[in-house]
Amino acid sequence: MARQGGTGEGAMTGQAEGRAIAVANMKGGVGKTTTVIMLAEGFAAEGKSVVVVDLDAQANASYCFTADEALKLILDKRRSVTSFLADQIVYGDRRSILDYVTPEISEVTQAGELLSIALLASSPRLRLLEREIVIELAEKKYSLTAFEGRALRVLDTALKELRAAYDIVLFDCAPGISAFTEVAIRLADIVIVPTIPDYLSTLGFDAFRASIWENAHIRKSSLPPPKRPPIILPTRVNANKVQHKNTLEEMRAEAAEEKAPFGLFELTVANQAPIEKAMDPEYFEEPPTFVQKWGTAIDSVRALTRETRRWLDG
Amino acid sequence: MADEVDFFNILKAIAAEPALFAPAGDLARKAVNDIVRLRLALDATDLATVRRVRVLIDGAAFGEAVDGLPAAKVKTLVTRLDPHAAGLATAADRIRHLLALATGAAEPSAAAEKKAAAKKPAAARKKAPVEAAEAVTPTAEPSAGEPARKPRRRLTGRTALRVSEDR
Repeated sequence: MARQGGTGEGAMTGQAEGRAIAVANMKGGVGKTTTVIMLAEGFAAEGKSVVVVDLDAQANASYCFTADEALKLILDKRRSVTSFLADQIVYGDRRSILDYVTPEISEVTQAGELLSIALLASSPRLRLLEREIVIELAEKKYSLTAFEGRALRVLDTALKELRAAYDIVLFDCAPGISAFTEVAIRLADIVIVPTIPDYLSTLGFDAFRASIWENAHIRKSSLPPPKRPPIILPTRVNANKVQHKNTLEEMRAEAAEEKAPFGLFELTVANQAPIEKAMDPEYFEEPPTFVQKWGTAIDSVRALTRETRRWLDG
Repeated sequence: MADEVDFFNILKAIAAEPALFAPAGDLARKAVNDIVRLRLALDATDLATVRRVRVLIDGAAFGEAVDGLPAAKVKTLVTRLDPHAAGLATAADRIRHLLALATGAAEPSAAAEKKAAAKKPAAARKKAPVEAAEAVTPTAEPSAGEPARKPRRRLTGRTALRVSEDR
């Protein structure tokens, strides 16, 4: 199938539909957005067409691709996930999600050509939108379950359109898990959970897994279960820290158990300065190449992309 | 290790047994990139050399090696290979042109004929003393030996974070 790759000229993979990956964790500061950017550029460098759906009201992924002025122009045109969800759920519009996507958002090049990455930008307004929708539906005497169901239908339809147009759909999920994030997690083919190998982060992972995969706090929900167990990606790893080393060993032991409740990447993403630089779109004087942008961290980007492909196929 | 060891021959021997060295795949990639980049960045690298390297290592590997060259080195190399090339405004333009020169899809451009009319009068080209002094001594002078730093960004006031998105 020909993918639009944001411009109608994307890569052809022969695959029937694009794959959806949610990068999520209830805990903040674990490297969710970093993982999304690494995967977006890693897959795009392999020739795949990629769309990043920023579901975080902090708009971090959006800011990693665009400078402030450019993002303002996008939001002024109401080309954001916030406007899409408001139009669909509050105003009852039926426009395609593709109308809200900004194509060719990345300035990073490979062999002189732009990486094929599109963005459904986010905005701080997203934080308030969910509340506005709940109030709106309550006024119409709808229940919270009805809201869930509505969010599920809207995102399910949207994801089908994105899968048809792109090889890879990447959800950058909000920490704290909003209703939209929860739906994205349940619709994605795999859920990657970046986790720092320390006590608090692993505690956060267990709480996240209990909440979504065990439905521990929900008696009634219209949402389907996630398709597969979560997959932990150890991030911000400091090889010199004993606690990181010990926690990684514990993670590996538990992941190797029969019927382990989670998968675990072989790769560990080290805490390294080139990754922090790569997150700043204004760091480079001129738009960098893919190789220049990641510097010595490029092996991590490629390894992450390779292993994610194996998880998708496995 | 002795200097007389022929490491290129050793690389050839390693290449003959890729399965034995499979775990070092990323290192092999890095070694290839480093070797090719060093060759491309040498002052003596001419178009014939670039084309030989391109034929030897194939397109994808050549493209990756070029992508990893610093932008200034690519500019220097392209200027040397095709000093009269026009329209190479960005780093990506220069990389595309270098790749095209390497494959033979592009040839070096002929020198443009000098147009007498386009020549500015000597008086106009010569800067006034004050202007010339400003060019040498910029207003915001960087400290000795250091490039001028870009102004630091402000922590607050980003405009996109304040868009209402109302219909």
